[in-house]
Amino acid sequence: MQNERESLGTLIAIFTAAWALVLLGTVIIFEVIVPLNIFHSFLDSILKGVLGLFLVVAWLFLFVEMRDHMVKTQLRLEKKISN
Amino acid sequence: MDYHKEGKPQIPRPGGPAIIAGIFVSELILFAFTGSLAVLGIALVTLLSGVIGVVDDLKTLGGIVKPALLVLGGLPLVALQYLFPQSMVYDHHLYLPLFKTPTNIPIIYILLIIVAIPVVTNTINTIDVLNGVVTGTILIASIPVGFTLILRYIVGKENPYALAAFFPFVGATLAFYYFHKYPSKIFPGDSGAMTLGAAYGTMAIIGGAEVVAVIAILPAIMNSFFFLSSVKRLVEHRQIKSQPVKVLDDNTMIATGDPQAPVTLMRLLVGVRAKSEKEIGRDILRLTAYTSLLACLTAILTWVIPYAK
Repeated sequence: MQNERESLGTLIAIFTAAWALVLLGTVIIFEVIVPLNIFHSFLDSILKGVLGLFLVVAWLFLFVEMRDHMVKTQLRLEKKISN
Repeated sequence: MDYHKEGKPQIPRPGGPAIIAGIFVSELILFAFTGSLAVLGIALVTLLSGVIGVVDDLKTLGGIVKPALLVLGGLPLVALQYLFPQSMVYDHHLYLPLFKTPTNIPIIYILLIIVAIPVVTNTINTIDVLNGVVTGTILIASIPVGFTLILRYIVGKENPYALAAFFPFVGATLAFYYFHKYPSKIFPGDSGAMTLGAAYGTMAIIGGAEVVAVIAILPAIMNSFFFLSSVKRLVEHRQIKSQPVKVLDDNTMIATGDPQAPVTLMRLLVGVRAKSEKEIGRDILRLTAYTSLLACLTAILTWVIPYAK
């Protein structure tokens, strides 16, 4: 029962983290990246694009890492049970 | 055949044509009364994606052909907006949580529609694993979408016909859920699941509830993401040789522990203890209820908080 709770709880934690990351990403894009005006030229647009892309990649990376952690834990549990 | 029941009873399928007819005809009647092209858009996307689903039911389409064909699903919306630019079939401003000013993305939004309809359709199709799960998921995930439509209507951003179009969609889904819930009397088949996915995606687009709708179906998205990232290619689930879950003699299910088998949401839920079909279905719907709650919070952060400032 404890493991079952952990399984549902971990999934809920992943969903909450994914949701929080979407909100955090929105705030960073609109509050930090969009107002950027360092070079006062088109270089600012390129910088904003690169930072925005970096944010999306970082979000995906974190999401995949969370997924991998959960899958590895699950496979370990399944192996332990089948033994 | 229902593999998870004692005696493996024969269950009629596909119920998809009934869902297609329910949504298409009711939206068409609404279009006749309102003349709203957004409503016509829902009807056409539903019909097109549903027909592709019927073809898939009759003659199983491959893992690449199906999503490729489903790209056609989003074209009616793009075509209607292109032919009648004043009709506001959809709003190409993307509203994000916490910010009142939307992001104007007219070109990217077209690409978003063309990609989003097949992705949502396929994603919803992959969650059709047990009795009542796909219809239950759509019904629960529709709550935050409907909530968003109402909030948008209150702040004066919503096309009232989009709000009206929401009810035939939910009504048809609810009617089918009555027969699909555990123990199922009918299965939707690929045509039913794909029709529901396409209608849900279209509803989110014409209702401006894109972000909310995505958050509400996170369990289905994660199921699809887990599957694809473990199989590492677009493949029809029937072609998978290593099964992630096995049915025990008492008709409960448990993970096989096969490292080659794809990772699915169901596998994660029965990894440590065998569960009955009803229990697994209930767990998936609980997860959807939780993400729908997060989606409602997102709707409040998008349509209440910025306007209260």
